[in-house]
Amino acid sequence: MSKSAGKAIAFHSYKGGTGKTTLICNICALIAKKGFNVGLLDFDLYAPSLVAYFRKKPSIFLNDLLYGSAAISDVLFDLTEELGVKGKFFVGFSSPRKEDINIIECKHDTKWQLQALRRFLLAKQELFEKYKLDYLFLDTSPGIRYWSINTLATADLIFMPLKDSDMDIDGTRKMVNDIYDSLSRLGSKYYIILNKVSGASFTAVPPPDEKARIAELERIIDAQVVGSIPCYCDIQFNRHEFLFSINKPEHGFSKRIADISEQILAISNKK
Amino acid sequence: MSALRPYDVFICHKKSSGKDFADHLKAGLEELGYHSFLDSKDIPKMTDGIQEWIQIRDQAIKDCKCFILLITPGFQLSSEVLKELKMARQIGNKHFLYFRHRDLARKFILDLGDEKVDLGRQEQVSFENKEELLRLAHGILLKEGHTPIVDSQKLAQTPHIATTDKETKNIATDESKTLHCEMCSKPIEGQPYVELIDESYHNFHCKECAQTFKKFKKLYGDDFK
Repeated sequence: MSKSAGKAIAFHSYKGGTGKTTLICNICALIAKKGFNVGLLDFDLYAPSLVAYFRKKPSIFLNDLLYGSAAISDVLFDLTEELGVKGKFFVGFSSPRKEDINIIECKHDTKWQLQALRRFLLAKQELFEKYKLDYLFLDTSPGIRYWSINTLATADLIFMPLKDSDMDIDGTRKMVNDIYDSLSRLGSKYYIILNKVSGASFTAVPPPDEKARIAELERIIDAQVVGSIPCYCDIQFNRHEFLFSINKPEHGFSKRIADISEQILAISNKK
Repeated sequence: MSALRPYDVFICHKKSSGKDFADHLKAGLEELGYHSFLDSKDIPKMTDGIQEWIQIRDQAIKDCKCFILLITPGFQLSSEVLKELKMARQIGNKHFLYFRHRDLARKFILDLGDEKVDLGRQEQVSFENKEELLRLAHGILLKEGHTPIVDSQKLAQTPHIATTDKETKNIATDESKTLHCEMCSKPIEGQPYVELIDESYHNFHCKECAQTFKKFKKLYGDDFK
């Protein structure tokens, strides 16, 4: 395994419902299964979902870290043994309580926000230095909001799950112009993951017509597509899809996730 | 700066065409904390004879971590330029930076006696004016991990470094105070990573913090303080 420094990777989208959380959780689990040390933090502070995804009931949240009342060690859940993965897999949840979301949303001034940001940056350093993380994944809020921008600015790589719809494409193109392009001038890299593609082939590798659409989207949005995932009804309408990538590795979804994970490793020089 | 402190940078140039560039580069790098050698400034006028002059110059070449060659008109005809480059290359263990004036062609083959150096095959950085030269040199030095030593007294005396600016108050002028990273607020042990951003100097814990700070500046503009 590479000895290079850990990478912070944010998943962000213009709109909700692109499958961001499902993708990030599955990719994290698979990369941890490969033996890399992975951290996953729920920075969708305005609409947290990892608590429900992992069915945990934490008493200390990322919110507490941002308030300055908890350390990152208090926030992390070590799911390594529970999931049976080779590398370490830590998850930090954010609070779904209405009061906490309200506080993050509107009850603080700029000074507090900056202090909170610094607490997060210190925690991030600790995760790489003390916990020896190879990857820190950050699930962000969709759209252009204070904490999603903060999360993006601290990431080395940004992945944008995208549905092949005009609204998503237009919004993503706008974000590329307004945010990603500025960040890329300072070293960040951004990529698209095409998700929930209707009518796409369920083969492990996209067929030629899917590849043509990918090329077209790359031209329109001006960003590289690192993978596409067909719309699987058994995932889309599953009451609780849970880490198919490691629990059902033969599923078409898992194979596409495996391909994207390989690309993430390659992009970040860990392969 | 102490005379005993080894030079970080040696500036090699041809006087007739490169003096203005070299003078500006030397002054700018010194302000930024890089101890830089320029023969016309760093060899005392009272120096007794050519041998002593050569001795001081050669010692500076030996000590420097970074050798900057200014490629200006006729530089290849200067025997001193060729001697200095030859010596630096023979000693090795240095970072060579070739700054070429934009009016000149890239390809020069220098005959150093025991070797011929094809500058066209070396990584070169072109510049147009002295301000650009300083900016590029500073950027490359930082990028290559040559961290400057910020002399707090010098900073305080230097008018165009805005020590009155709130943004730069963190630069250590009072040794009793611990220096903190302007991005993550972590106390800085040892040398800070200093970057010039929007005409102000900023101290960071590491290069990554500097990069993150620049990203926030880019996204939030002056609102980010």
